[in-house]
Amino acid sequence: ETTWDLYAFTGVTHPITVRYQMFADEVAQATNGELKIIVRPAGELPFKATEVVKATSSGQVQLAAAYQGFISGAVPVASITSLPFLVQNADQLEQIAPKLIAAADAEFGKQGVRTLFWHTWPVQNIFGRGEPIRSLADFKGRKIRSTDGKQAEMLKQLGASSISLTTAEVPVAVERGVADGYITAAFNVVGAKWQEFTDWAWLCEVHIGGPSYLLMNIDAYNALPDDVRAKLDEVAKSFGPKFRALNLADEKTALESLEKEHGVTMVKPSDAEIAELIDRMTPYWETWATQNGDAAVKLLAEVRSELGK
Amino acid sequence: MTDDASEPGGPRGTGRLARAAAALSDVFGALAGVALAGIVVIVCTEIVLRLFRHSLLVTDEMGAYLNAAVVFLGLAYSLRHGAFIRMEFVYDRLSRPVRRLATWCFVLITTVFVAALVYVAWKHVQYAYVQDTRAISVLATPEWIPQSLMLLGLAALLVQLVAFIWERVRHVP
Amino acid sequence: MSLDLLVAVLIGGLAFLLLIGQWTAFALGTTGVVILYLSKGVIGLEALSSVVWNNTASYILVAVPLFLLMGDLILRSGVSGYFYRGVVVLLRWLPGGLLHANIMSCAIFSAVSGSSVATAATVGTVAIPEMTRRQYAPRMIFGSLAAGGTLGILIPPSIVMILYGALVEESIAQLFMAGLIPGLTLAGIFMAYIAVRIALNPALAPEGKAREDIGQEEAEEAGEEPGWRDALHVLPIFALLAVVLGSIYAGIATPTEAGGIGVAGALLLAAGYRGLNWEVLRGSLMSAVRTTCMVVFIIVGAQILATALTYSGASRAISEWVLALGLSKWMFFAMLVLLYVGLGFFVDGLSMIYMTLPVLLPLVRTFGFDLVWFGVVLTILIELGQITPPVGLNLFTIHGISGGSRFSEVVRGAAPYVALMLAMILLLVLFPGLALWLPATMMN
Ligand code: NA
Ligand code: NA
Repeated sequence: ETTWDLYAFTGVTHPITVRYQMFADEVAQATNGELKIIVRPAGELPFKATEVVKATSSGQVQLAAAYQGFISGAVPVASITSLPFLVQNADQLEQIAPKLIAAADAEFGKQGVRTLFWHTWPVQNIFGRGEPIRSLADFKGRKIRSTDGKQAEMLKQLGASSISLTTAEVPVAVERGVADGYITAAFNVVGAKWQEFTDWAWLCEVHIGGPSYLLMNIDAYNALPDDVRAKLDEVAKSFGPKFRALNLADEKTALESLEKEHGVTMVKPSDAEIAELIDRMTPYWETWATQNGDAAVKLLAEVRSELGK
Repeated sequence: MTDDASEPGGPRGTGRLARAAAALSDVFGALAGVALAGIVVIVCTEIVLRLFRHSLLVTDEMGAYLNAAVVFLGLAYSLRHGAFIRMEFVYDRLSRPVRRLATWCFVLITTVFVAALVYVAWKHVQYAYVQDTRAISVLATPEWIPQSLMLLGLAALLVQLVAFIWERVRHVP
Repeated sequence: MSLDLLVAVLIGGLAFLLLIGQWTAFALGTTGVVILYLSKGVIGLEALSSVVWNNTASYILVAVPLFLLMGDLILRSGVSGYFYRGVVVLLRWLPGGLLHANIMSCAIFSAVSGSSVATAATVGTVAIPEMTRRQYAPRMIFGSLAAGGTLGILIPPSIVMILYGALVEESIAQLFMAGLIPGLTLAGIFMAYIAVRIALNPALAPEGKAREDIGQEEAEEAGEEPGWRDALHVLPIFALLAVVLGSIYAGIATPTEAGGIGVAGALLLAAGYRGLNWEVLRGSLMSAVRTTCMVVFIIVGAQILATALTYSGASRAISEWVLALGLSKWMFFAMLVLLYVGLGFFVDGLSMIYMTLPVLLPLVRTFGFDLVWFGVVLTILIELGQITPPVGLNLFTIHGISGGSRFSEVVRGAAPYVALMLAMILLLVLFPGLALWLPATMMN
């Protein structure tokens, strides 16, 4: 009997945590309890979401949820999808996934970890308080919270100013006007009850919130008995798509609830506006790739040709 | 608390190592004070800039690093100046020889503990350097740079504890 | 590693280290390291550096040194002396006047600061020297400050509620509102307790002592008999609070950043009173550095221990054991309170949340407790843990700034407030509306 720890950065009742628990339960059932996976929600282990590659590689945990944006400082190539307006939605992500996962696993492999399966958080959009954004020009002078350099660059292109805040500070900051908006998925807005201070959404599909890799320590995997390993692979293979479908369904419900129950004004920018934003961001994509080496340049070229951007 | 053994935080010895350790902790302590002043400056600057719809964009990141600087660089200094809390109610009632033994005991344990921390901190910084891990921020700071503060501060603390032990060993007849 | 051995190491190891006079931060950390090593081997130790770094390089934590520095500046520049003379004029008609002033100042500072430690430290650095000089019983001073300071996490803003809200995904805004009335009620209970104590034993406050006992000459020299004009000196401090508070509510600063405004304001006040010089500045900075190091390293030590308990399986084993008892709703609640009071002796509040909630929270839901209400109760339990020995952050803070008083004196002073906090929890059980009425009203 083997016991594995699975690091999650979401809270104990968060749907994502619950889904990892479903996965753990399925594995336990499929292996007759031979492989027991303990899901460790936010706060239980001392690691930050940015440290998961190291924690999995060193065997502190055997499995870890690795959101692409959080590991951009550890394995930059794996976070190509957080380039604004490059991979904008779940369909585009499915389209490029084989190449992306292969490129990411090549990097992960250098540290003895690989992707067991992946899911995705929903599309990231811009939400805020006050007068809704109706056109690109409305961004001028708005203070939007950004969490990394890529978002800050996008906000610069939009004419907004970016402001850095820890997640815990967002509600008070937006309520009090320290910030006018923030970037996330509707799913998270509802989950964290941020709708209380949210008046508008600008559904420009900044980027898909994925992939979120489930990293696995390769040595631990190889140490499993053959039959257990086969069962684990089997469960993982079907669980990834199921996980993604559940998340995306949640997003649909969340968007509806925001619009109908909470009166959030939804504005969808025109195709021309999106095309213009893609144009404005293209040079930044290329700079990013150059800065992050040959693997990044190659992957960006593949992704762009696949998506025709 | 006049018994010299009961002032384990501050090696009052005259030996070269004790003086060097004391000087090191005071220099680091002063830098910790500067880091705290830095927090005030950066936080206030951010607030003022925000009034004009600007942002340093690095305030939370730099603020966190400066906070680490305050804590780690201030560590040896704080221990030396008796800022660390301990339960003295039993200790104070011990006879002098037992108290001496107790002091030896906890100073040695602390030294081993801090040595372990120095070792893991070294591994931590080394990993960040070798893997070139970056902060996920606008600056994309190489993480080994701020994390070195942890290594430096813990090392200064270790030096101070070792100096304390060395002073006592030297004076054992 | 068996659970029995683990519990033996935990209790035996901690007790041994604390009794021989080990620094508390290192006693917690060392015990944690031993448990980590016994349950996971060398790999377990590699987690240590993450614990140390992540609990130190934190922007939310900068509120601690900032509010400490603000308090130190007010104290060392002499501004606090003027403030207190003003408070004396305003409150001298009350028996134990300045003790009430402590609770009231703490409640006011709580509305500015998100942390108990910062609240206790800010009011404490101002109050302790003044009250000691006026010959209040040290226990009464320390108790009122240690307990009053805990209001910092109950009266919004609150770092604990932010972290709890993030963990259980409840609205932080609602949690904040839910904490306000219980916070004010608790402050009222504290003041009622002080009034009763002073009525029973007037010697605890200087008004109950003969004039000669205080030292007439010293009193005259210090201008002990202030006139009504001195009452005006409370205004600058209130102005400072108004600026700090106002900066949060006007959207100029986040609760963390408000500490920076507090420091800037304190510097201006100090300069205005002609009390600002290099010595004051340097002394305040270094004092804030020392207290910050002490507090943060206790958090680090407690987090090392919490990580060890998680890795060893002890936290889950203990929680699952509680689960297996098959209790009724309120029996379960009573057990929960007992568990948190017990843990609170040794573990700091945030560690306590992180150690237990992953297992207990689903159960709390199953029993049908409102998570906002539960957040308020949990916050009070954490406050309680902050004033129980051997590990009580507020006890440490007050002891640290008490100028060489004995730790046991601080502990004894704070002890009665533990009972008052339990009474507050009982009130919340009987009248859940105390917590839930305000958020419900403001939402509709
Ligand atoms: Na507060
Ligand atoms: Na306690």
